[in-house]
Amino acid sequence: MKLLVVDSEEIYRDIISTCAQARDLKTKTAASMEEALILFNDWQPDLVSLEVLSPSGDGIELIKQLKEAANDRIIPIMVITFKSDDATMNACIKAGADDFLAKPFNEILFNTRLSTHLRNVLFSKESFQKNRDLIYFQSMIEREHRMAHQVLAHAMDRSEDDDVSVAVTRLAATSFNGDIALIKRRDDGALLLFIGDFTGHGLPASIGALPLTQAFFKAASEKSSISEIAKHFNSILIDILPDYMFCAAYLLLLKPNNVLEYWGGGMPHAFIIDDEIDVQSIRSKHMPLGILAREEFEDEISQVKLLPNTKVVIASDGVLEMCNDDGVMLGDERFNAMLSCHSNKIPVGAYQAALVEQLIAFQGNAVQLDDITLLTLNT
Amino acid sequence: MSITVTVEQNSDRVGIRVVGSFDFSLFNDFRSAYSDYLTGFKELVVDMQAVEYLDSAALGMLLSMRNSVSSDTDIIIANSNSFIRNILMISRFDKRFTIT
Repeated sequence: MKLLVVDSEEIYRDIISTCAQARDLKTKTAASMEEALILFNDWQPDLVSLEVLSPSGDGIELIKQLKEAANDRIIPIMVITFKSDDATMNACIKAGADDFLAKPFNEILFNTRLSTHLRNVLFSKESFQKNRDLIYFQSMIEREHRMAHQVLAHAMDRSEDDDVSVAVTRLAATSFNGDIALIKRRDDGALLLFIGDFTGHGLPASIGALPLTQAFFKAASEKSSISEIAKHFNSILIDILPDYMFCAAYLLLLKPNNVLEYWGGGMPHAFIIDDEIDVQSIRSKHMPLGILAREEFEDEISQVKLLPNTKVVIASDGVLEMCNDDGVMLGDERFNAMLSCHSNKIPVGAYQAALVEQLIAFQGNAVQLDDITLLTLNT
Repeated sequence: MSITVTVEQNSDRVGIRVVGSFDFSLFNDFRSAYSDYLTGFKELVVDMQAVEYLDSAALGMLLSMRNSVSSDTDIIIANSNSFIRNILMISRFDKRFTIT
């Protein structure tokens, strides 16, 4: 630790320096106000001792200048002075001094006060370092999020989000939405869809996404069954994900005859909105992907025959758990009401836009806590 | 303390009580809580009475526990409120845990 001793009298520069050196402090001395300011800026001491009485300038003014030069760093200034009246003390403290001792020099008193100031300096240095570390790690995470976003965006590039029968909306809670939505129209006219919600957020989620995406498009071109795809996806994930990570998902196949086949694990129920605005639901029957071993995995699918002009709405759990300004969750009932609000006969894009508008209105200014993925299908 | 562990005297039952928000911030503490009881116990009860909120990270932590703890030990997730119970059932956790 470095102490700058400012005093116009040599004997005091010596006494104070010697005392400090006995405490293992490094010292430098300044005889004048200008010298003090120059040394303060160049040498960057951790503490300063200062006599305000000086032929070379205004000591109080120097205190102000030193405090300004320090900026927001904690550099205690101990005034050690002959001018020990109350008015001077007040002026010094007001100018920014941290301590005030009267001469003649009292070694014991000086040492006691020095201990306190040293403790403060150490503490503030630690905080400063921790702060810097935090900022560093924060920017690293932001960089990783951007990387994950890029990886995921690239992986989902082949997804046919603009297919006539589909509308997809993805809203990220932080800088990055870890949910995946994949869409592919097969050459037999069937529509294959995958909606996946990985545990957690960010980079870990995108790791699982890459191999799943490749497998998805391969399965689409090979016209694999939903059961096969689900089994395959599960195998991929149990191999690469740690045991505390998994992927809640819906795998759906909408055939040209409007039969909808699906496998669901860990996702909240999806909604079927048809002619009578009768909101039925599609339910997850299985555990999420990436938990059960190959031999335990259950690939049973469900099937539902849909009428023409029926909408199917799939929402990740972030939708139903969305909170408004009062901290109230959206929940099933309110969401059902929103689904029934507009005719299910309008084009899927318009229906989705109207739905999203209602959701955003509900949220108000509340912070979005989870990623939101909303997909609407049209038969 | 967000997590308290109680070992019932003269029994082969361990209770782990979680308080507040069961999320990623409890990752290390939760793991430490059950690490001493991996074998030799008949029941491990995770008491959710005081848990207000549960996210997918917590589900992951429960799965990790199930994988580490002996298959002879029954893991019971007890006293969940309806919101939490719903989350557990949607992910079919009843296949790996006893949910009461």
